[in-house]
Amino acid sequence: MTTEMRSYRYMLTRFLPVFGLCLFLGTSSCDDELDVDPQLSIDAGNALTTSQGVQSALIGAYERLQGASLYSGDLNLMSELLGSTGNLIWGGTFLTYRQLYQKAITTDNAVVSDTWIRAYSAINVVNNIIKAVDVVEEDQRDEVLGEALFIRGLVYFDLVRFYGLPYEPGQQNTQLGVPIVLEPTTVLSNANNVSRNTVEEVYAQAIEDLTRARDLLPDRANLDDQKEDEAAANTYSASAVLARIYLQQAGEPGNSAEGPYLTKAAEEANRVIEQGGFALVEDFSREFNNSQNTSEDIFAIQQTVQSNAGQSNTGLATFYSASQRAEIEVATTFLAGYEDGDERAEILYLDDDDVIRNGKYDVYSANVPIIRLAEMYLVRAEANQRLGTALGATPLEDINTIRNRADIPALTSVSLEDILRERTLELAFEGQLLHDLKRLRRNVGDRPYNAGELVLPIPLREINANPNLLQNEAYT
Amino acid sequence: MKRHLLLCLILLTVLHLSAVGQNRTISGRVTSAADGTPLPGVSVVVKGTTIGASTDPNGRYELNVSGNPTVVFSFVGFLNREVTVGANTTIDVALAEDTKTINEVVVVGYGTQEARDVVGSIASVKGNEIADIPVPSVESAIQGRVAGVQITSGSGKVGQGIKVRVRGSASVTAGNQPLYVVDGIPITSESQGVENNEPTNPLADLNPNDIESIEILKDASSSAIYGSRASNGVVLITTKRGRAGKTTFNFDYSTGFSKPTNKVEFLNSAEYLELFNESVANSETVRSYIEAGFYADLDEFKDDYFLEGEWRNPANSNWQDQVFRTAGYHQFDLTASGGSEKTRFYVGGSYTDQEGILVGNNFMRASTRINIDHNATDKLTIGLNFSLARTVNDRVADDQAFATPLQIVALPPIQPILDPETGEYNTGTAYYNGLIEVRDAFRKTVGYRNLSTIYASYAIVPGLTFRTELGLDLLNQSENTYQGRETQDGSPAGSAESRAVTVLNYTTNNFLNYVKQIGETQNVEATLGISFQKSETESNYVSGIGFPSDDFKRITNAAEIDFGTSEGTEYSLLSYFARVNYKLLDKYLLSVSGRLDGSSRFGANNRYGFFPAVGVGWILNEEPFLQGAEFLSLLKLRASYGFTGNDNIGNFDARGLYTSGSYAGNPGIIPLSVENPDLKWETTEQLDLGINFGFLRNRINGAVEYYQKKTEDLLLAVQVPATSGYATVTRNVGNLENKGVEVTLNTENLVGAFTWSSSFNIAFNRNKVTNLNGQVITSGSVNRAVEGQPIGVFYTFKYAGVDPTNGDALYYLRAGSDETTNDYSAAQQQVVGDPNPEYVGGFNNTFSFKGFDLSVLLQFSYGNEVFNNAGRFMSANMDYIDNQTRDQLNRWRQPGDITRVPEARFLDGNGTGQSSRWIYDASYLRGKTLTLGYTLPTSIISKFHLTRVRVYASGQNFFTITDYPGWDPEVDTPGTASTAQRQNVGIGVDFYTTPQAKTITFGVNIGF
Repeated sequence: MTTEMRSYRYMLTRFLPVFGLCLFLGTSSCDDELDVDPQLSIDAGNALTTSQGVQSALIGAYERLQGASLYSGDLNLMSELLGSTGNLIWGGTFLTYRQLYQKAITTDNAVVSDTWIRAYSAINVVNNIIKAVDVVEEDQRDEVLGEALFIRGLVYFDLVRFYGLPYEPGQQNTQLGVPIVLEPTTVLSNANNVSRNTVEEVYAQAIEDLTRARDLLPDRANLDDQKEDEAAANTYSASAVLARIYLQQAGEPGNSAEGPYLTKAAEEANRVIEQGGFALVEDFSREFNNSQNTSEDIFAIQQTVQSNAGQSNTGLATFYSASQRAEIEVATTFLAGYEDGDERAEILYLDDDDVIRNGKYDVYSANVPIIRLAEMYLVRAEANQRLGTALGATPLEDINTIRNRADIPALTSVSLEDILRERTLELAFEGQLLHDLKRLRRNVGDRPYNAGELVLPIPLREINANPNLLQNEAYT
Repeated sequence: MKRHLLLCLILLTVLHLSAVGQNRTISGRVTSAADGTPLPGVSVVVKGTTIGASTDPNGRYELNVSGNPTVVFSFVGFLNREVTVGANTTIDVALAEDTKTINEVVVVGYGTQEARDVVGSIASVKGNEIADIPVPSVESAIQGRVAGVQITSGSGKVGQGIKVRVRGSASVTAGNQPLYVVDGIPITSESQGVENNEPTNPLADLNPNDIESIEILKDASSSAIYGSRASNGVVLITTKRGRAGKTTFNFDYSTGFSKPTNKVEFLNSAEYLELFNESVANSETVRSYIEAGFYADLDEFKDDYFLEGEWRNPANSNWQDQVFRTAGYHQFDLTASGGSEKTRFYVGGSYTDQEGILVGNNFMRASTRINIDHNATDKLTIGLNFSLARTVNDRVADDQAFATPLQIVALPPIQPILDPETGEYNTGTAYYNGLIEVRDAFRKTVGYRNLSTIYASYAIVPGLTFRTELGLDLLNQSENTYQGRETQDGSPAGSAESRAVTVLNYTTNNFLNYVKQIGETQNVEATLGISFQKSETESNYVSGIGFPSDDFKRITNAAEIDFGTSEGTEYSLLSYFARVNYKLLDKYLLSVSGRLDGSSRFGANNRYGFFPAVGVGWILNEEPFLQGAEFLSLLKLRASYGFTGNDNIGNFDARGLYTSGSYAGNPGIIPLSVENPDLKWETTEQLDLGINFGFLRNRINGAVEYYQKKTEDLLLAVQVPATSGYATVTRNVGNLENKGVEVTLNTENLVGAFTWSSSFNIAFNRNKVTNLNGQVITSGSVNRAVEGQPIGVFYTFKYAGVDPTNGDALYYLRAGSDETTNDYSAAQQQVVGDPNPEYVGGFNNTFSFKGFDLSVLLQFSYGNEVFNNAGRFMSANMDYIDNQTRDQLNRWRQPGDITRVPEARFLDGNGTGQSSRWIYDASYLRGKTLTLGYTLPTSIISKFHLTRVRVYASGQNFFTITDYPGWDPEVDTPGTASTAQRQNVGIGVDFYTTPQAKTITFGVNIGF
C-alpha cells in the first residue's frame, strides 16, 4: 500500500464520516448538540418534578410576596397614601406615590402596575405548586398545599380590595374585581386574555383558598424547625386572614346583613387568640424591626440583609425611616390622638429636622409584620360589640388587653367608637387605613368610601396587552 | 521516482540551454514599477522558444541568448513585458502591476473566487494598505477605505470597542456588529469587560500587520452562506502565509507620538469670574435666598460655593491640559516567511505599545503567529495557523463617571490644581478632582488570546477537494481595579474588583469543493459542507472594600468581600451550507447559495433557519456587440437577492426557565421566563443591484451599487397579560429597512516613472424603523427608535434661541409650529435631530516616484448630528459653577442682543433643560492617514545584504475639518453595561468623550 493510498483511506475512515454523519444520516444525532442548558437557571419543565423542587418553589412564592411591590412596600404605602386625610404628609419626589397621595392616579402609574404584575407572578408560582403538589412527599403534602393556598388567598383578597369597588354585604357584588387565574402558565396564548371576575367571586375564591389552608396547615405546636417554620404560614395565619376578610365583608356597622360575616370574623379571631399560642409583645416598640418573628406575629414577611425590599428607592424603610429617603411625614394632629403615656406613640419619633416619622419600619432588613395578635383582639372586640356577643371575651376585656400593653389606663366601658379609635392608633401606618375607611363607609376627605378614585386603575399596560380587560369607571 | 523525473528534466533543460546558448549572456534585474522592490521568480523567456530562466530573490537573472531575440518577462499579477535584446547585455526591467481585476482573487465564504466572476457585493482591503497604521485594532485601519462600511471609534480611549455598521443598522435590540471570521473560523468579537465600564474590543487582540486581506461581504449572495449571523455583513480576515522560495525576513519598527485632535476652549480664570459674578448678580434664585435670609448678600452666597474663597483670590488653572498628554507609540514587528514547495511557513512576532492621549490610558499588545502549510502528498495538504496574543489595557473610568479624566473640565479655573498647603492634589474642588483618580486608582485589563486552526485538504479526484478545519478561539481576560481611599468610589478605605472571563469558541468546518469545466463553455464550482460551532463562557467576579492601606490592592486584603458571582453560559450552532457557481460562455454568471442553521438559541418550533440567496451576473464586454469597444475592459451587471439572519438574541430567550431566589435565608426557585417555542432569528431580505466597470485597460474602474435591506421579525420585548405571571416576552414582531447607494471609483491618473492613482468611495444609507409594534424604544439620553424615523433619532425639546428683549431661553411649543415659549414645561418634545449620516466615504491618493511613495487617505461623514449631553453643564450660560466653554461669553446681556446663549442667571435654569440647544452638525472631513516613504536604492542596501529598506513618516488623523464645536465630531459615548439596544439606538451622543488621537509616527521596514 502506498503512502498515498494510506492517506486516502485515512481520509475515508476519519474525516468523511464526520462530514457525512450529519449530512447524510439525518440530523438527529447532531441535533443533540443543540440542546444546551443554561447554568444559572433550570428548565421549567423539570423544576417541579421532585418534592424538593416544589418545596423550593414554595420558598420562591414567599419571595414573591416579599417584593417591594407587595407586602414589604406598596400594599402598605398604597393603602396609607390613598387613604390619607391629613394623618400623614407625602414629601417625596416620586410622581407615582404623589399621585396616590393626591388621589389622582394615572393608568400608567408604575406602582399600580408593578403591584399587579408582582401579585400575579406570586399567584402563578402558587398555581404551579398546586398543580405539582402530588410529587411532594406525603407527610409534607398538606403543609405545602396549605401554604400555597394561603398565599393565593391572601393575594387575591388584597388585589380585590385595591382594584375593585368595595364589597357590599348581602349583595350580589357583581362589580368587577380582578381576574381569577388558577392554572399555571406554561405557554402564552389567547387563553391568557382573561376577563375580570366579580368582587363576589374573588372574595369567594380567597375565602375558599384560606379555608382550605386553615384546614390543611399544621398547628404551631407541631413545628419542628422553629426558625424556618415560623416564617411560613400556619393554620392560624389562615384564620387570621379569614377574620380580616369577614370583617371587611361585614361593611358598615349596623347594616342588616352584617351578622353572619361578623360571627365568622369573631370565630376565626377567637380561634387564633384561644388556640394559637401567640402572645402580645410586652413592650409595643419591640413588635417591630425584628429579624425574627415575635410571639405576636401571626404572619410576617421575613427580610434579611441579602433579601429585602430595598433601601434606596423601594421598600417601607426607604419611605418611612428618617435614615433613608424619609418621604412620609406623620402629621402632628395624628400624634395628638394618643393619650399621654401611650407607648404606641413612642414609635412615632422626631427626626433631626423635628419631623415625626413612623418607626415601625425603621430597618430595611427587618421583618414586616403582616398580621399580628393585637389585630385579632380588635377584630374580636369589634365583632362582639356589633353582634352584642362575648365570644371568647367581652369587647371591654379585649380593648383593655390592648390598652394594658400600651401602658394606658383600662376603660370601664367601651363603645364601638372606642374600639375603632383603638384600632386606628394600634394599627397606624400598617397598611390598613384605606380598607378600614372603606369597610366602615367613611369618607376619605370629600370622597365617599366608594369613590372611583379610591380604586386603583387596571394598569394601562395590562389593558393594552389584554383586550378582554375592562377598565374601572373612574379611569375610562 | 518522482524526484528522479524532476532531476532528469532539470538536467535536460540545462543541456538544452547549453546546446543553443552559446552566443552570449544577458543579465539584469526585474523590479516592481510601483515601488522598485525586486521581484523574485519572474519568468524570463526568449519569445517563441522554451529557453528561459527565472529571477532570484534579488530579482536578478541571467540568460543565454543568440541573435537578436525578444525576451518576455512575465509574473503573476503583473503585465507581461517584451524587450528586444539588441546589443544590450544588461536589461533591467520594471514590471507594472496588472490592474485588470480579472485575475484578482477574493476570499469568499469557504473558498476563493476570481473577482471577475463575483456576483455579490464584496469589498476588499489588502494587508499592505493597513500595515503600520498606529491604531490598536484593525477596524480603525479600514475606516474610509471601502464603500458601505461605516466605522465609528466613538471615543479616543485606546483599546475600546469600535462600531462597525455594514449597510446600516439592521436591528434594534439584537447586535448590529458584523460577524468576524478569521481564516475561516468565526471569532468572539463582543465586549468581555466589566459592566461598570465601557465595552472592550476583542478584535484588538489581532495584529493588523499579520493580515493579508480583509473582505467584507455586504449583500445576501456573498453572505448568505453564513446564514443566521450574516445580516450585519461578514468580515473575512485572512492572515499571511508563506510562499515557496528563499526565506525572507521583514523587520518593522515605528515610533511616534499622539496628541488630541482638538481641545475645546474653556474659560480662563478672569473670564470665569466675570461670568460667575454676572450670573449670580442676575439670579432670581439667589435673590430669593437672600430675601429669605439664607444669605446676607451676594458675597456670602459666593462664599458658600467656594468655601476657600477662591472667587476672591482666584487661581488660573487649565484643567483640560492636566489630563491630556503627548502620548508615546512604539511598534516592532519581525516576520519570516518562505519554505519549500512542500512546506511553507510564516512566522511573526510583534509588540505594540500605545499610550492614550488621556493620562492613565494605555494599550499594549505582544503577539506571535505561526502559519504553516505542508503538502503531505500530491493530494493532501495539511496546515496550522497559530497565534497567541497578550494585551494589557490600562483603562480609565467611563464617560459618565466623575472619575473619567475629561470630566475634569467641569472644575472652575479659579480653583488651584494643587492644595497650596499640602502640595498634594486639591481635594476641595467643586467636583471630584479626577487627578486623584489618576494617582490612586487603576483599571487594568489583561487578555490572553489564542486563535488556532488546523486543517487538512485532500484532492479526492481531480476537481473535487475535501477540506476539514478545526478552529479554536480562546479568550481569557482578567480585569482588576483598585480605587484608593482618597478616590471618590474608594472612600473611605479603598475598594477593589476582580473579574475573570474565559470564552472558548470552537468550530469545525468540513466541506467539499468541486470545480468542473463542462465542454468549452460551461464552468461549475460547487461547495457543500457542514459546520459546527460551540461557544462557552465562564466568568467570575468578586469585589471587596476596606483595605489596610493603598499599598494593598488585592481582594484577599479586603476587610469585607461585598459581592461575588460565578456564571457560565454557552450556545451551539450546527450548520449545513452549499453554494453553486455556474458560468456560461465566460459571461453569464449564476450563483446559488444557502445555509441551514440550527441554533441552540432558537425556539423548539424554529430550531433550524434556512437562508438562501441567488445572484446573477452578465459580463457585457464579452458580448460580440461590445467586442470592438477597446476602451472597455469590464462591464458587468449583477443582481442578487436573498435572506440572512441575526441570531444575537440571548442564549436562552426561547426557554421556559426557573431561576433561584432566597427568602428568610432559604433557597427557593422562581419562574423566570415562559417558554417561547416560536422564537427565532431576525430575518433580513436583501436586494442588491450593481454594475462594475473598467475602462482603458482598467485604468479607470469601479462599481455602483443599489441595495435594499428589509429586516423583519425584529426581536422586541412584547407586553403580555401579567395575569399570566409574566410581564413581557421576547417575540419576533418588528420591521426596519435600510436602503442605499454605494459608489467606488479607482483611477490610475499617471503611470510610468511617476505614478498617481486614486480611489474614491461614497455610500448613502437610509435607515427607517417601520414597525415596533407600537412601542417607542428609548436609549441613552435623548435617542429613540420610533416608527417612521431612522434609528436613534434625537427626541427632546426644540430650542428656539434667546428672546432679544429679555434674554430668556425660548423653546418651540410643539412640532411643526413656529410658536415659542419661555416656559420649558409648556413645550412639547419632538424629533429634533438625526445622528445617522447622509453619506460617508473616503478618498485615497497614492503617488510614487523613484524610491518615494506617498499616500493620503481622506475620510468623511456628512449630515450626521451629535447631541452634546454635557452641554447642559459645560455650555449652559453659567447656570452653575461648572466651567463653561468660551462660546458662553457670547451670552445675552442687554435688550437687543442677538445671540443663542441666554442671559446668565445662576441656578435659574435659563435654557439649561435638555433640548436641541446642544445638537450640532457633526459632518467632518478628516485627513485619516498620510504616509510618506522612501525606499533606499538596491545598489546601496545590497552591500549590507538587505533586500529592502524603506523609511517612512506617517500621520493619522492629521487634520479634521468640522463645524462641531466639541472635541471631535467622530463621537459616540459608549455607555456602560452596554446592551445591544444601547449600542444600536443610543448613538451620536457626546458626554465628556475623549477625542480621537492625532498620531505622528516614523518608521522603517527592513527586508533581508
